[in-house]
Amino acid sequence: MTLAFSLFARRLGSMFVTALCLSVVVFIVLRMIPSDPLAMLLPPSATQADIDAVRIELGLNGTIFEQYMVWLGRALQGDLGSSIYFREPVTALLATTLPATLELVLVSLAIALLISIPGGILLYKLEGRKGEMGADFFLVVLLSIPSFLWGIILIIVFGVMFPILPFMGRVDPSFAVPSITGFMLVDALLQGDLRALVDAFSHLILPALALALSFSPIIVRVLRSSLLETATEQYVMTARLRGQSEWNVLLRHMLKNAALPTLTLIGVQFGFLFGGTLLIELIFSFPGIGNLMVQAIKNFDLPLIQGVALVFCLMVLLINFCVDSLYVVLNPRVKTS
Amino acid sequence: MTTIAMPVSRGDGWIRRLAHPKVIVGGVMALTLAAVALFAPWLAPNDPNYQDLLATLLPPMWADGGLAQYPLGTDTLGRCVLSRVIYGCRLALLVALAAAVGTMLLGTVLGVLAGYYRGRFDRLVSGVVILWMAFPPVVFSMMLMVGLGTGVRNVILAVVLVDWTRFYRVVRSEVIVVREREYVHAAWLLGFSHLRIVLREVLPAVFPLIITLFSLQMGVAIIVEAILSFVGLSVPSDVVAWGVMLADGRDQIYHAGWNLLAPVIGIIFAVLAFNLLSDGLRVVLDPRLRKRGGDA
Amino acid sequence: MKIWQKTAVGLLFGALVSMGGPALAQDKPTELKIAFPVDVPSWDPTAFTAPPGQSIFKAVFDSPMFVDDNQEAVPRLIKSYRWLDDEGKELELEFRDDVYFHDGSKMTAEDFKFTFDRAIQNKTLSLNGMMATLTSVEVIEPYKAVATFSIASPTVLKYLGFLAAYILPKDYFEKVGEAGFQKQPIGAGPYKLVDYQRGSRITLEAFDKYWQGEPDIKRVIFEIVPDSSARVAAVESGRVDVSAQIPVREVARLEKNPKLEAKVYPYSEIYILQIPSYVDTFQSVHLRRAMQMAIDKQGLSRAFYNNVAKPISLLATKDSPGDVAGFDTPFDRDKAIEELAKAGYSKDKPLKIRLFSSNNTFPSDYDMARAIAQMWSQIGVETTVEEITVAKYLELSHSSKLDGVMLYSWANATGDPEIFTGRILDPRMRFSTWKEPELGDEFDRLNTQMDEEKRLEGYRQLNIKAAENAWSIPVLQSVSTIVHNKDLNVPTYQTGYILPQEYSWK
Repeated sequence: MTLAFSLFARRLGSMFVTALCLSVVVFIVLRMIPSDPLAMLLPPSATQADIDAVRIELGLNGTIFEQYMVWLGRALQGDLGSSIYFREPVTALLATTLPATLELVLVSLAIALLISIPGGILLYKLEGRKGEMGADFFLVVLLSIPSFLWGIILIIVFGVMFPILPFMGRVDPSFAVPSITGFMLVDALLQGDLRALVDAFSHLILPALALALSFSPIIVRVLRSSLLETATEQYVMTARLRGQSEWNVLLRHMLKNAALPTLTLIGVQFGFLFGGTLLIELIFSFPGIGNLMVQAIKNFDLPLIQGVALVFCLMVLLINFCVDSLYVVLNPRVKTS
Repeated sequence: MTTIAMPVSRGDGWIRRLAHPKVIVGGVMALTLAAVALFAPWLAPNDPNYQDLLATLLPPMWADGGLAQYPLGTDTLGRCVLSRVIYGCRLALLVALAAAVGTMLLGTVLGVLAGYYRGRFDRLVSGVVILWMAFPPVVFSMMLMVGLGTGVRNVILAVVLVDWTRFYRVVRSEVIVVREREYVHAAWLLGFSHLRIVLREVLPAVFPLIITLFSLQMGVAIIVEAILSFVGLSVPSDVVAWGVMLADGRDQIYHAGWNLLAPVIGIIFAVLAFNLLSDGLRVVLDPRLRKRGGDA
Repeated sequence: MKIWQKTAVGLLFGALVSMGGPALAQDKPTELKIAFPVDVPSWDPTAFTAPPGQSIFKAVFDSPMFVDDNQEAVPRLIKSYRWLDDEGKELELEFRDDVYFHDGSKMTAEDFKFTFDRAIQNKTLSLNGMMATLTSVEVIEPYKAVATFSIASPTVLKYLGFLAAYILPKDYFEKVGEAGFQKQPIGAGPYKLVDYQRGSRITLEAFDKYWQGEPDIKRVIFEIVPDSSARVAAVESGRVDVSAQIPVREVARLEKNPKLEAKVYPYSEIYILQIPSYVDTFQSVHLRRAMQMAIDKQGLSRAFYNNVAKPISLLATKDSPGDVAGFDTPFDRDKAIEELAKAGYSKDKPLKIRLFSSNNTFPSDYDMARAIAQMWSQIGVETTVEEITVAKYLELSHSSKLDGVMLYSWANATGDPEIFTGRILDPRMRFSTWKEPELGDEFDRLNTQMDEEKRLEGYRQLNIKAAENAWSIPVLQSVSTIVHNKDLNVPTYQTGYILPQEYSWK
């Protein structure tokens, strides 16, 4: 127990340190911009005193180091500053948009698993057989299509050519879903509003599918190769000799062990998935942090860019942490050591 | 000058082995792209930037209202779509090549140094890499473009700065493995300088992997460039880029879908070419993989 | 695994089947959905001058005056007004006594004072800059106030119906504070804000105590859809009833749809090219004139605006008070080349400049910029176009760091030349990129001229001078587009406002 706990604590600590370092990187990168956000906030008649006051309020006076310490101090108290463009606290903007993106990412992860687990098994079964070449080639083609192209293709096919799915926003305006958790599917369920639930889900399908389609081929590959590896393991051979059916062997032994490297991969690739939300949310007018980030960048809204970039990194770190913890829990070998 | 024999045989099966279908298909596709990029001025029917304001949004020449002068039709400014796709190939390949070279150099040098010498340098750089990889690449590259400013050079720089970790990690772990090999130990014993060992023994062992990654990186660079031009953070308006064509074409999604389809197909074709090449080379050049007969 | 798959398929199927649902929910005649390109920057309507968001503010808040379809400023929350002196420094305003805020409280002159005191004290509010000459507000009776100005302010009544001039509820605002107000804003407008999802949706419900009477349409939802093609898709599929600002090309296509009505109409906004005077290159009047004459304005209108956008040669919309009938700077490429040669440039010895433009902020903005860039390149001014957001442009312009020409859309619902030329070219204002020092005095004179005819004539002369010097290049009068369900009455205005409070189902 204590071993797990100390591992846990150490990981958490390193996560915090990483987050801190990342915030420094973000800070420095953004300070490279030759931009003066103050110019937007003040009227023509502003005196030097006015300018200095606003500068202090925004935390933009002093050296870069001083600015960073000011920002860090406030951030640790939960104050990520105010968006220059929206004139709202960054944390408030994040609070409304982050759940939307999380919901999107989780749904797309679910869809990706739904596609890739059968896909991986199928590809494994085709090993050495006729369809393998074709299937593999197909996989490489899928791998070559980034998520935003999928988004455009899906809109053209299911939004324009055969308009059966919505591709705008989170839910149809005729539904008023109160924001309890921020996750529209959950909130609709809590309200008992089944139609809103279905509608919200239908709005999630295309963007989540676009993300999932870019994610799945990678999972398929890893699953297939780890299945191939476990196929030659001793206990699998023994199970077969004992007369267990192929499916049984597959489900009970192989998948469980193939899950581990797949899980690791998902953790690694999650960063890419999150990055994909930027363009997907832009293309689908989805109100998540990806969309927020694009707007922040286009407007050179420094505090907002900083805040959102940090949240992105924290999310990735968190996911890695969870995946690592899950790995420890699931991996029999690590447990006994 | 003595060299110590390497365990991987370089026999005359070399070229035959290279004839993996993925390598052939990918290679042919890549060569096609290179040809299109090189001979763009001769292949393109029109000046890709010339605006024919009286002929905006023409359909492809086989459709009603299309003109033979504009085989794939025109965009909202009356520019020839086919010519723009062809010239867009130039930018894509330029960025891909330059960025791949840059990431390869940076990542390989650091990876070799870290993997070979280990110690503090390794820990430091690897720590930085872990940091780097916590940053979603799209977010990171956009932020860099905001900080650096737009332009082709900065796009290449952004890709290099974000993606060098790819080469670093792979090269480093490979170098760590190689340096434990007998012939390297033997070289140390014989008193050869580190530099010589690195150049003569380590790098050649790592070389196949680098080639594979190089091709993969080219595909990645094309995607990153497309993403950046899509949000308007990449090239100035007189440079033809597929991502820009996508951004322009989105508004015409209803009545001028070919404006979108042409760059979509271009991007997929290019990325597919390099992915196939990379995949195939990985199988061909890594003896361990070839034994298993598949991809990992 | 199989169970999960079945559930997923079931949900998917259910979703597809229920797709008919929302579409059927269309025939609710008391609800209206509008696809709108921009969100409000914040719920303090006095803080920003964002012209595109004004339609939303006008639904929730109300102003002392209102600019109607004839571009006349008419009393709105004010019942009457009178100048107390000849110098135009003391203005007495009498307010209506039947105006309520959404919380049921009555509007009085105190609310007016509160709103404008706040503007006077807080320099970061746009209302401060809009009412720059206002020095104090005094309440003399529950429904009467006197506004005092530092200098003669003949146009202040127009400003009271213009950007940022909305009356805030004093008691409520003081009770909940700034942050509280942002979360739950209330105003005296025809609709109450019942739900707000930033960047996504604004839900409004009719206010029964609105002084002009409760609007016909009881529930209005502004769907924020920045993407123009998504707005088109929305109205075509029936997901929304009205779509504002769609690409002009789509109008022709959507007109053919039997369920929709589509319209392109000119309105009170102009597309202009802002030139920075602090960049030495542009100091040459020959260069500027050449750039002006090289633009085929009719060609631009034809290519991007269905020929509806009218070419303009003065910094005024056609037939507005600042316009001079018959004045025209014709498109003449040969003359442009000649003029450019006087500046020392030609196709063989070209000048390189940058042209900035927004992308998808106003219809065909980026396209028009690229077309203009080609027109200039053809005479010897090699132009590269750079995409920029309006926010970024304002920042560069305000700090005098703009190093190229900017294609800008200048909104002026009032049509008054003071808000066109008077701001575009006033060297002391941050809005102007061309700063001609002597103009400062000229504007001081014009802006304090209480004789309206003299004031307008002065501006007309100034407009002609501006055109001759090409200090800022006018291109086209803007057009607005709107598409709506055929069963809806949608009046459009020269001011370009989208006013759901005036809509009704047929």
